[in-house]
Amino acid sequence: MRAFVCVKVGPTRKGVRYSRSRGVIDSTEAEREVSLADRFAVQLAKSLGPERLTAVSWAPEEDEALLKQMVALGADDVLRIATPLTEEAAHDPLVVAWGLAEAIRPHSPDVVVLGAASIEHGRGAVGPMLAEYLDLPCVTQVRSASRTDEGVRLECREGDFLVTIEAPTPLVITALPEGVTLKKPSMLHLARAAKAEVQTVEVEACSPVLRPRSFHTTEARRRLRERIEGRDVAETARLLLSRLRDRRVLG
Amino acid sequence: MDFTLPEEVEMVRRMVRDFVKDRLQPLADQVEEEDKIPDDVLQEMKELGFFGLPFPEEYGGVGVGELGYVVALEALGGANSAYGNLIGAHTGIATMSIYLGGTEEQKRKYLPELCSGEKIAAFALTEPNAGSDAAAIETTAVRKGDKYILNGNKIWITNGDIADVVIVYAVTDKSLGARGGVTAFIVEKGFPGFSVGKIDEKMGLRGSHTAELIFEDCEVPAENVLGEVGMGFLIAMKALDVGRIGLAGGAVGGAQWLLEQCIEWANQRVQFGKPIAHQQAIQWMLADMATEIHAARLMTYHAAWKLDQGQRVSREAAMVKLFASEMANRVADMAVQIHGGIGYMKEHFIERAYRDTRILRIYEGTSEIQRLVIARDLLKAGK
Repeated sequence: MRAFVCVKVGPTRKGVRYSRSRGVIDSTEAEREVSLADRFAVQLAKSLGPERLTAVSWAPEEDEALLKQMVALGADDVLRIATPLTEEAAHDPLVVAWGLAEAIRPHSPDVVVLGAASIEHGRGAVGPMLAEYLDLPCVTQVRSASRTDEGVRLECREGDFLVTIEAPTPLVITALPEGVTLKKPSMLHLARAAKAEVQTVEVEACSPVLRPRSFHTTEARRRLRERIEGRDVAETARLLLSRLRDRRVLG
Repeated sequence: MDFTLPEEVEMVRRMVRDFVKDRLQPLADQVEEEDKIPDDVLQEMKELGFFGLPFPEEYGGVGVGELGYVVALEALGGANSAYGNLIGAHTGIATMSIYLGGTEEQKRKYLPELCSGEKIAAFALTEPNAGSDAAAIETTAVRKGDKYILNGNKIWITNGDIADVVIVYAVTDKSLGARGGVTAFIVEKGFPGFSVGKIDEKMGLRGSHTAELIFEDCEVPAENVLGEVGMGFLIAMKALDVGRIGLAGGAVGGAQWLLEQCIEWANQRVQFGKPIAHQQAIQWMLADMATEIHAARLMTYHAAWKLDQGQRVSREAAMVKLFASEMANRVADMAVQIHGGIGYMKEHFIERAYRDTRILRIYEGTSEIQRLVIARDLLKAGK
């Protein structure tokens, strides 16, 4: 399995200040970090036992040291998208998704994992957009994942419910850090990670005002959504329960 | 000159700082009340690599050198002193004794388990009649066949009650004195004749235990002589040189944390209609604290860097231990002063920090002994 995990380096909440004089939220003095959601995404991707896991990020060179920490968390290598982003573009999920897709596509990934909260402040938009660009199905709000013979088994949050989905690969997953303990890397792993090399890739810059022309549903994605129909309500309910048991949603 | 910390050291610093904030600080009162580091925390610290920071990977260490070790201890400064004390005694002087003085076979045998924290180590030099005058130790070791028989008492030994491995310094030839007459031994828990005596009640440092160690015809295999017979005092002095730098790192970290608490307090405590931070008397204290901490930090990093370059650091180690420990005491004193009455109250962490800081000027060589070391080195070198 060839897996990618998309991470973003951003300011820590503690260091962000409101500048009264300028009337702006100022994060220039804030220490930077990879968010908890993205660190969980690395952990989730690792739990799939991929043969190779690459952490990919659209980040400036100054953030390379932080990106290397992904190696300490379990990534095998780090890929940094080197094309500079304008401030405006950096906050456009569509532009970010496009850049990630450009960097990842040539490697034919089996799984791409993203943190649920990323640049668009937790709206979780980059994952589905990236899936569209890569022409892959997308499963969101994933709490845990494991590998099966045919793909992956994912436990997802659906409103107040937890749903287990078995999905074929390749696909895109957005990880939800809920009810989990984030593993801390040991200092030995950190020291080793500091020696890791960060590969850089340049992608063609796209306009920050780029907007999607259309979204389409791929065949692979369609297979994730199954319609259950019976002759009447009772039979439909029976079929539904049976299917849920098959998929191990119900015991 | 480049004052940027190496990447791996910076990663370690951030990790320890976050661990202190998320995991250790919420348990501060518990450690103080129960006089014990919780077992699950200890286990986490082992898994994270706290016990083998400066040692090379080939011996199971993290391999971040003395600078990485010092920076980690500094970052630990925001937690109860018990953690830094545990690590300092285990890593800084006990395991360091094996690393500096042990044979290759001894390093291969003991270091991996000590670096992983699977086994805890203690450094046993001090005796009832041998504190600052370490050469006056009276514990004896007499060779009997393929064993040595140890007799004597060690006191105030940090980690003494929990140690699996103890580095014991004993007289093997009284006529030779410290130069050739003292030998270090690796004594394991369970060796016949070795027992733990009284566990001390101290002014502070709750959660870190010191104990008396008793050797009554204690049988130690001859292969457990650390390095060579007669080299014990030299090993002890070398280990203490290294340990003092780590101790200074902890002092800097503790002082920095106190400064941050004082700034926060000064901004929120209102007297005479405005926060006390607006009073020049308070501002001057904060400025003095910050300046002294900065100086001590630079001195400590320099000594650690020099050691990592393989250079001799006896004088610098004594200087940083002297300056950082006295600085930490001045900072703790000012911290109580800035907090006023509340800082004197038992329930307040400033009171705890004040008590915990006092020992820094005493253990691993008093301030007076550090001055002696520095002066002797100055007079010998002529500069």
